[in-house]
Amino acid sequence: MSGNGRGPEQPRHELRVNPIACQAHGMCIELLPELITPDPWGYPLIAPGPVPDELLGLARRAVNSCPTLALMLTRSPDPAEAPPG
Amino acid sequence: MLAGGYFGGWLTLPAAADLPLTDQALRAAGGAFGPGVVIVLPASACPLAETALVTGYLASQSAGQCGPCRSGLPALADALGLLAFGWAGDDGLYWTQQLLGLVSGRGACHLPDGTAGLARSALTTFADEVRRHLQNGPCDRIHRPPVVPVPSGAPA
Repeated sequence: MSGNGRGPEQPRHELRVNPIACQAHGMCIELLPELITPDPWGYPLIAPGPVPDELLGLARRAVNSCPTLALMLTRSPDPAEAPPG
Repeated sequence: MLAGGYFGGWLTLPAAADLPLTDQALRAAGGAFGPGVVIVLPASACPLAETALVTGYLASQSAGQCGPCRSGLPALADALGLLAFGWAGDDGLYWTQQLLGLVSGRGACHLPDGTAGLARSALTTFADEVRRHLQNGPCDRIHRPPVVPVPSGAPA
């Protein structure tokens, strides 16, 4: 579950919103203003691109705090990797 | 000329008449083949008014599932309506352009993308018309019956 210092195969984590599930509670905007800002109606606008490593912990917290489970953290390439051990 | 129906794009006519009727050629020009609908707008019609009315219809057809579409498409229709039928000012134009970005790609389906595409195409193709409306207010042609057909009656 780490995802840093692994060379070129480093997984990229990205935040995505399920637009149907999102009800604009705004938890993610409160918890991760570095990457998520409100649109004029309170729905989240997510900064494009991968989540920087130093914000991964905060991103996970935002994902876990979403009352409607609309916020997701995806990783690509998908780790079909079998972790040794 | 509207090539590709509601989710197509506006092309200017003398030039567009020579395009082959293929999706590739129409897309390269900024339109689309889409459902195969081509609507020629006479000079007596206001393209901004036509676009605003179609956008209003599309906004009314939102399933209301995604917030940015549910809130954004009516806002876009209002902004275009002000541009066509009122005095929008530079702020109004700026807001309209902002709304295009605020709805695009933010729905589970592509209704907001298609609607924003039509609106963006109108602002680009009819940039002169937009400027005229901003400077002089609504044109006389807005009082004519619309040319692009829009289903009437209560939305399903």
